[in-house]
Amino acid sequence: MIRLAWRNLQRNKARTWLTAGGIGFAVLLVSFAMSLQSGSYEIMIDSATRYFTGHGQVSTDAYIKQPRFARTIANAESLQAALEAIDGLTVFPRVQAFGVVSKGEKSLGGMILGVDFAAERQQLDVYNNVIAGQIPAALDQALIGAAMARNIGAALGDEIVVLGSGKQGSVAAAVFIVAGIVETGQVELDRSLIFAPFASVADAFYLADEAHMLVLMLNDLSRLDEIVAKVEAQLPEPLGVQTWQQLMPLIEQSIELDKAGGYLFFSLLLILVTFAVVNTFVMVLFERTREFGLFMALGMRPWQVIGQVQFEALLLSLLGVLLGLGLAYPLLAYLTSVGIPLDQVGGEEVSRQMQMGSMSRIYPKATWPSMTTAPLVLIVGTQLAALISTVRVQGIRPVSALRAE
Amino acid sequence: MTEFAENAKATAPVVECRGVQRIYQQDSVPVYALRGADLTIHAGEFVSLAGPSGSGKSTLLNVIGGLDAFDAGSVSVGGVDLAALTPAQLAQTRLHNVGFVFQAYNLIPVLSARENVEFILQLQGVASQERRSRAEQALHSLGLAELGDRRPGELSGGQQQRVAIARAIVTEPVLLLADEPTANLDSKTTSELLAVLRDLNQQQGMTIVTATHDPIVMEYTSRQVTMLDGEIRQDGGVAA
Amino acid sequence: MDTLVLLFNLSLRNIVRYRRRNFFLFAAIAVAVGGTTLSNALIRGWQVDMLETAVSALTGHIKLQAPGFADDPGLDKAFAADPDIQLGGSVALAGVALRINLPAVISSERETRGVALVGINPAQEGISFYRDFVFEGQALTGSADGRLVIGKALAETLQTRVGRRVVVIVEDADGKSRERGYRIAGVFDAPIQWPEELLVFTGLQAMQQSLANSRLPTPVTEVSLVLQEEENRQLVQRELASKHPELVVTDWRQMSPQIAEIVDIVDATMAIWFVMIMGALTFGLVNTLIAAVMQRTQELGMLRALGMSDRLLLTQVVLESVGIMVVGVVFGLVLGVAMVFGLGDGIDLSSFSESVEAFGMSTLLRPVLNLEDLFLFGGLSVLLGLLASYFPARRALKISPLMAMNR
Repeated sequence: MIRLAWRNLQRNKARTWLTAGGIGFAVLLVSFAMSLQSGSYEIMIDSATRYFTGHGQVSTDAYIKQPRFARTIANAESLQAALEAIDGLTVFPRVQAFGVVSKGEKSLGGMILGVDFAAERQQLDVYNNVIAGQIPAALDQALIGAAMARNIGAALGDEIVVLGSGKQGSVAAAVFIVAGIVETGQVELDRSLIFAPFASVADAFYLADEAHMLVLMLNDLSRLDEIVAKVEAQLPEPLGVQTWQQLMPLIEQSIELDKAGGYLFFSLLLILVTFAVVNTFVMVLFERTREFGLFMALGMRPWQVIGQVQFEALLLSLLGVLLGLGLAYPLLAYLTSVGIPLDQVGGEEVSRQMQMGSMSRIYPKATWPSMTTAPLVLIVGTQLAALISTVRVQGIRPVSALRAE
Repeated sequence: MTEFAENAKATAPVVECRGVQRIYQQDSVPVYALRGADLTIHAGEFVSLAGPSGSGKSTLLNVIGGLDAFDAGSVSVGGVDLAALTPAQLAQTRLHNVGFVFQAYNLIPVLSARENVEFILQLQGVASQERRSRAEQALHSLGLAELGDRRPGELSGGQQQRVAIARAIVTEPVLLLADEPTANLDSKTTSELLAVLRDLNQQQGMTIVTATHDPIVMEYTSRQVTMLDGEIRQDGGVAA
Repeated sequence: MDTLVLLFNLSLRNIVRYRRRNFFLFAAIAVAVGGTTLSNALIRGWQVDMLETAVSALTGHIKLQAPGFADDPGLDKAFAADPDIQLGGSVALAGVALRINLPAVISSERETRGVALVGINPAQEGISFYRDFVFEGQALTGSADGRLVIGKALAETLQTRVGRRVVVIVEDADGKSRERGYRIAGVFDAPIQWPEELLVFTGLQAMQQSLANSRLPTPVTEVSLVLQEEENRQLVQRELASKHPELVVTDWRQMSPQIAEIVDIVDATMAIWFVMIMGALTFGLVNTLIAAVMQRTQELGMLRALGMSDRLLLTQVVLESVGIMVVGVVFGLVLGVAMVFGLGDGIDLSSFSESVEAFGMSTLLRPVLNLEDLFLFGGLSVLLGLLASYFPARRALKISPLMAMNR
């Protein structure tokens, strides 16, 4: 049976190779694109979360709804300690306050972020973008956005004053020395951000063992669900966890949007290749009507003829799939190790806009779904194609078929 | 033999084959299709090439028609040495000097009978008005005047073959080649068609060569040539 | 010429004759072309929408500012502008808006935020997203209106509402911080989120009166222009630059480089998409075209036996390939256009609202049919048919006239 099918495929080599080639091309394209997609999503998520936001954040439910200064986490230190006990998790606290930042006569509205520099710089990429000076080491030092520095005319070593309202509405004030200037690439952040040591900001704004959020960083993002469950088990009542999906809906949705576009493309490609395969089998049938008539005159049942063509179809699609995967796999293996440089493709501004810090290369990632979707669809499609075009053999009358030209 | 043909014999022959050999390589074993065939055909003759399958009659016909190459000997048609021609020149020769009638009719299925006949004139670059009237005339002479608008699929085998003959003669070739023209026809239609060919030969002086293994055909031809194993065995009833 | 007509006729009839065999090929071509048309219309729609959104975000196609303002915005870098901007030639303007746009700090009794205070003449803002704002309370009545309108999101953050007072701190023309109380006339709901958080508006004239100094009684910090035809922007940019050497003239591509980059990437995406789909299609096409030649071996052999020249034979095969492609492409274009019209008013992307907005587009994706695109892709498809006919043509040339002798 295999031999007969193989021989039949060899009867018209050009057609066999063209059809298999079409299937192979589609398999190659879809597998490659899907692998590229899943690879790029991973790196997108990774670089986006590692930039500034973190993999997750703990804060009070009220703060999640509407971030207000007064909605703080109580007993932040002990909670942080408790959460850090979870394996594979790093936790650091932040306070976030709005205030007026001035240097001399010039003042601007800004966002003052109290952070644990030592912990954060090990985990987050935003600190790699310090363009002048260094990350603050002392309690009276601050790191400010580049545009803010320009706008208020502050240089390294200058003194800046931060004025805001503290917890009970009392006036909060602090003085910092500019230790470093950071350029995040996002205009709004650069214009308004001030990073200062956690303790100083908490102090100045009258917070006692309080934080607005605890940032969660995981060693392995694939364990997110498991670790979030453990974190939630530890949290007292008014606190909740937001994962990066909620914190950066932009990333999640961009992925969804990109996937939707991808599906449109893939289905278009697969449908049209399937149609082309149907076309091939329609031609096969046209050509072999006489032969099938002979078979049936010799006593073969229509379903046996259909079965034979089905077998040929299977062989054909397997050939195409092997061809496609045979090309896709080495290509992916190579690119997975080397990566595709992004800066040559363009899109720097875009990735910056998307808060994707240092995303210079995409590494495609071959996954089971990405490598099996196209082959499965096309194998099934080819069988269906062969079936659609051969059901007509039932209508063949041996005598007229033998006479057909 | 008619008087006309007798006279024509005095002029240069239409076809002259000398020692024609045709060797096919089949799985690197040489197969001799023609082993030195000699044949001279004069204007106005109606020649049948007979012989069993594999005798070389079709090959000889194809060589004369410039469809197939030959490996040794010489072939001239209408005084032109075929060996000296490029494929493009051969095509021109076929287009202008030779008419073909095939066993399988070979009409263009998507064109009507008239269009099929006009088609070849169009290839020759004949102006449309002249084309129309010549095609009409050719169809008329073969009794097809009524059927000009039908497509080949709507015609009987005999009618299709007559359209094919109309197509072959509309260019006024020096030679009409017919390869088993009646093989797909029943005996009554065969007789009718042969009568048509004989009339063409006798009334218009068309030189016709037909390859056949049907004994009836030979009854209509003016000269019977028999081939065997790639050689002429018998010519006009006389063993070669 | 006559012969060409005949060959054309012949090809057409052959295509009709083998329509059953070719049906699925037509279907494949139609899916390819139709799908490409649809996706292109969507992508174009996205592009147009993105461009419109970018331009309406107070940028305009062209903007004039004082040197250094972009880096360090302040009223010290203001200029006097004649609102009656004249453009030479036939370039038509959609609108001009004069504004003062300054960084400011806004405080309610509860919260403080950094924003941009924008002084506008509401009558001129038909070219920006201000026209799409939905107001609760009142909109600004005119350039002399000294009240404030703020975004809904900002109002929530500041925990304030229409009729309440807020304090705004800006620098005046002399570089002094001015603190001034404003009454909130209205709270606006914008089609996209960030203006609601970051922009507050007041009347331009009122703002000039409170901030100007004697040196410059009617300062503005920017003049924003929207043209009827975006393609003219470089022309206008050059013209304005030479007319106003003291100002910096930038176009939207310089002001929104991300958007410009996306717009460019979109063009490339469409091309890549098309090439891949058509590449996949080529296999089926070549396959069928070869079959179309093989199936008619005898017929083509006969044509050669009758003495048809190579050139004419090739012409016939090529014409038939192109013909098949044209039929498929026509079906495909009709299918694609029908699908686009089937989408009607567009696709609702509100479930992707945040990423959609980050890409600078609105949540309703309206497909845009571009006649040039249709012609381009239709034409390229037909060209593909032409190229694909190389293989069957090669086959056809190999057919010996002896093939006519079969059977």
